[in-house]
Amino acid sequence: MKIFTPLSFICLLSVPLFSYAQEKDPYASIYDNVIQHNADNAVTSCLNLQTALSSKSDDVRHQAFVTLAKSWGKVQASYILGDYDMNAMDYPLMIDYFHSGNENIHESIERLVSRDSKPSTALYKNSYKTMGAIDSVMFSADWTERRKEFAKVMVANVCERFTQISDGYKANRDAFLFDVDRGLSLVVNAEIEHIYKTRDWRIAQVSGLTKANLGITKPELQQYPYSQASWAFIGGILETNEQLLGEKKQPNVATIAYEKHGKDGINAVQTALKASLLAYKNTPVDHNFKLNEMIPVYQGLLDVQKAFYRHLVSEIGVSANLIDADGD
Amino acid sequence: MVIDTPLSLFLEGSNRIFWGYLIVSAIIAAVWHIYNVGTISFSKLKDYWLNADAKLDYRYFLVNWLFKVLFILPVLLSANTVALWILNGLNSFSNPLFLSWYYRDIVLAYTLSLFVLGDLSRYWLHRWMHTNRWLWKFHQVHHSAESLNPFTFYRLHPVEIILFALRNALVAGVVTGVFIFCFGARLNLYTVLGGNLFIVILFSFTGNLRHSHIRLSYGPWLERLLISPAQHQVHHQQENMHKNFGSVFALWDWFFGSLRLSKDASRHQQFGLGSGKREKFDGVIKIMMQPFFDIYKNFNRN
Repeated sequence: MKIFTPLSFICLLSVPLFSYAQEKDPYASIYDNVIQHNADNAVTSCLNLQTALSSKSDDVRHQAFVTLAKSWGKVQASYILGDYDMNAMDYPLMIDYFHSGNENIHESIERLVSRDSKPSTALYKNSYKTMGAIDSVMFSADWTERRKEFAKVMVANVCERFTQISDGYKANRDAFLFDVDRGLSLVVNAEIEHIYKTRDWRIAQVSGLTKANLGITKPELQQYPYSQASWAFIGGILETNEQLLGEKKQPNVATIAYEKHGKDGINAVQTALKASLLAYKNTPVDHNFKLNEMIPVYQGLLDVQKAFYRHLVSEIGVSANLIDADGD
Repeated sequence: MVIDTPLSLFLEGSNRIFWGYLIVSAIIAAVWHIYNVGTISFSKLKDYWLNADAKLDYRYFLVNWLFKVLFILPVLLSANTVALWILNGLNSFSNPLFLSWYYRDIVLAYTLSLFVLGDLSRYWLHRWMHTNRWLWKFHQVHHSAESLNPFTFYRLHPVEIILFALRNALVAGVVTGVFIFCFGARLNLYTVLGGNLFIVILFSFTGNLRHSHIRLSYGPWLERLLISPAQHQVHHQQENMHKNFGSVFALWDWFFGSLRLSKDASRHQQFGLGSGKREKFDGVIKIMMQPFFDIYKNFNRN
């Protein structure tokens, strides 16, 4: 029996050692602490909004939606589930129809609300049950019982998708960790894609910073114009990037970049991201996407994208692997 | 391409003379020789590996390495720079596409594009080195070898090294820039032993026999698709120097009318530029300077 005492002691000691080792793995950390964690948070935020629909306080309902918008931004910034599960490719579109299709969702929802058909029947299209539709039905007019019934159907749909995403990530953890190079490139791709879309769709096109609408601010083009929750969504995108690249959030993408390629390339991305976060935090609350207020964030995100590209190109190492570039 | 010492060229699978490829080539050569010629004698081996051309190739191999380390890598345009130019250029007049292809399809397409376009550009630059009278002065250096061994591959004038490095930077940079524009960061390269998958499979294990006297043919059918060691040796024959410019694919030669199957060429192994020409290139300094003298003479004559 004596052997059990030292053996148990060793086992007891090794438990924290093992869990420490697992936490040190940057790939597992990215998956568990960023991707899965943010998806789970979005489910919680969505359930909170479902509860808040019964609240008589406008502020409670508004705050619940803003929180969900931010959680959604955090999920979308690193959304990679579609690459592991074909069905999951369209989940983001089923949650948010922003920048997809030409239909004016607000007009359609208002038309449906003014009729007397059942909400579950009226909201037959998926685009009528997305974040944009919730923004419209909850905040474009006074809160009524009929709007609440519509919102319940819409929020239930969005919550179901977030649950599918959370469950999907749980099911695909092993696949992500089986091919970490693939997983990492998917994460970085999601980061670059949504940094670009945030800069161009969510800031430049609204504040008048694109070639097509230079100087003409159009707040009505923002993602959630009635609740003004678009800014929270943008914050969510930036926060996920900070989770993935920030010095204090390691082990993360930056940890892997340090190990593989040194600090130079990724430091430029981190610096640009820090500047973007600072610009985001320093933007006045009542900015309403005014051009001058948006320039620092816009420029910060543009710098992040460029630095990311520079890092990416050097990371791929295109000059290598060609078996001698000489002639014959 | 990170080169620390000349020795590293033997240790990394992305180089032609990686030890693994050399061993496989040696085994193929031994089997081929025993089957076609007979036993291998020590004196013949000594004559082959220690003749004047071979010794010059060993010396020049070091010069080639030094030139790349000192001038090509730090100074010359890199593929990374070209990739960023292309990417910025494309981004300036269009939004990134972020096409939703499958990851494995993107990686396969990228690996294949680098391989195919790289090989096509090598074909055309090699052909240009032969057809342009000024460039031929520099490429003569490579064809001056009368005995071929794997290190003859490195007998290239610095001007040719620069041209091929620029070719590599342009092709790899353009392909990478376009792929990042289309697919974002979901980019990777399928590699084996550190080299491009397709090059390693189709080329590397017999690549070292191209500059040898082992006339290994792939047969008339396959020699229309892939350049065999025998076909490259045919290219080193004086009468066939304007044939078989390809590196991996013979398809380019077939398409553009420069293909010569090994069965259609003479079996002699008299390589080089012809009688009396070898002396012009029989030392490291001569290799470096002779093309410039020839060009100067041509100018004066004109």
